[in-house]
Amino acid sequence: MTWPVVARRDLRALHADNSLAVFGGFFALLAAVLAYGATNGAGVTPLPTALALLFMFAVPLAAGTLTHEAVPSAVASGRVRLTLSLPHSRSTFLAGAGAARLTTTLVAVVAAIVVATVVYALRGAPVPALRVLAVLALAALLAAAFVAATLAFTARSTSTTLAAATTFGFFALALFWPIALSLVRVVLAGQFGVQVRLGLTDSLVVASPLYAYVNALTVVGIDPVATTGSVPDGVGVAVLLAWTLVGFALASRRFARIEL
Amino acid sequence: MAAIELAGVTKRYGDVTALHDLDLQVQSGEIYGFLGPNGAGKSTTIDILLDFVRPTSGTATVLGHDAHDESLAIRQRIGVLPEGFHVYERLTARQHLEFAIESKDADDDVEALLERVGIPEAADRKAGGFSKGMQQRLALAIALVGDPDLLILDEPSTGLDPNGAREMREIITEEAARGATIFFSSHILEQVEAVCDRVGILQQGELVAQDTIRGLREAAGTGATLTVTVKALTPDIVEAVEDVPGVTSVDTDRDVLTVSADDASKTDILDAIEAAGGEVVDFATREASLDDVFAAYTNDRDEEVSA
Repeated sequence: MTWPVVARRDLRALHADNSLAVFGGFFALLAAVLAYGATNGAGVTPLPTALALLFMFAVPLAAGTLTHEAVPSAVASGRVRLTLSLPHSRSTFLAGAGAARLTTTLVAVVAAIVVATVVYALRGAPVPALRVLAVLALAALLAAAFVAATLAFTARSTSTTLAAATTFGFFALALFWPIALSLVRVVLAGQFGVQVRLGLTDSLVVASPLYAYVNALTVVGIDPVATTGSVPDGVGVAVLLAWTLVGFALASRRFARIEL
Repeated sequence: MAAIELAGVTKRYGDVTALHDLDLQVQSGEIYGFLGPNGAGKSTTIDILLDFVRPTSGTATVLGHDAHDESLAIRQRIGVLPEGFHVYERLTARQHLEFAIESKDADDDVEALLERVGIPEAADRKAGGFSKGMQQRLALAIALVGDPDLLILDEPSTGLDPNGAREMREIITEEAARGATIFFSSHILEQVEAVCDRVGILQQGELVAQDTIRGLREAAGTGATLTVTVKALTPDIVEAVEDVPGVTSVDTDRDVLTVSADDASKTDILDAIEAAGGEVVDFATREASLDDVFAAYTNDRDEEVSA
């Protein structure tokens, strides 16, 4: 198990190129603005809800941005040769790269939580620590799912442009997944005469990691985005875990087959 | 025991055959030079040994381990200076070496390694600012971590100045003296000639020759060049020398004869000059260089292919 060695090296590189500072600072700034706005009106938005909404968009975009170049850039530049000439397997390389990017995303998440908490406390709004920690845990799961999925999509790519298009395309699909499902349902009914139950498409909404995250949040009483569907609360946790594990397994399988 | 063994290795990229049924053995403890023109398949061979690419057919073993199935066990015991590598631009030389030391669970001293490869002052500089030669030295330092049993160096002198190339040769010799096997590819024939026990010449994916440099010279029939200064050069002397068996060419310049011949003909040439009435004032011989041997093998092959 040498992936922590690779992860530490990648973290040093991310620290050296200021990724840690940039993402941490950006998240902190967003959190400050959001917290100020959320506590400024007549009705205060609960801190966990505000953070959950922020992380729903910021975490996948940060995880994707940090991860999409990890493999294509290393392969195209030849950096991967330096690592794989040492006793690291290809899946170790991926795990280390993924862990470093996940850690960087989580550092940014923690920075956002700290800043938002300070703003809420200064303005006299309640800070429910346990529910905030639950949001942190679910944001970590969401980040892991997007890191793994991005690795899976980019593991065979040597083009960083293509990798970026795939990564952000996946985010868009995950975001507009309910609309995509509705369109498929309409097309199937209109063009092929296949009737799909509305309940089924509603249930499939949770297959998107974004809506899985939303579903998981309901377990701790947070519902940042109103969704319909018949999936029990908490299934989203299993879906996020599945995205993480299957994504990494797929990434390993794809990366193992390329010639460097 | 063979440190490296390739048996019937073929590698195809689409309809291009990079390696064709390659058989190669490198014995433990030897310094093996791997020569060949651009595109001959040297780097592909090394990439197969490192499991960067997989052979289309055939088997490759390194230190008794299968190059694909037991690649991790191999890389624990070898040091590699790969071709086409790139450093982490924002990390320092020290951080690169700490990563290698940690990866191999070794206890090498970073300063000592950098001192050995000639860049002790660069320990805390970011590698992105290094020249190509300094990056090459850093990669060599990484390869030396953990006192590997086998060093695989792909074009190690790329980007090095003459001093750097000499220091590289010294390190190769020191590592061999320690007991390590060295396998390196190079275009710098002078380097190969200076340090190698055996040489393999790869041409269009096939090993066209493999022997000691002396053995290759003899087999290629590149012989030697004899330069003879006589007191007064006459047409009879030139004719007599041309008639000596083993002489392939004779050039004249005033009273100097330049004769290409096989090694065994040298005394016969001098005898022929004296028998023709010539008086030898001075003579010198120059053995065929590895350049000549390399050209003989690769040009012959080109001619065979074009024929």
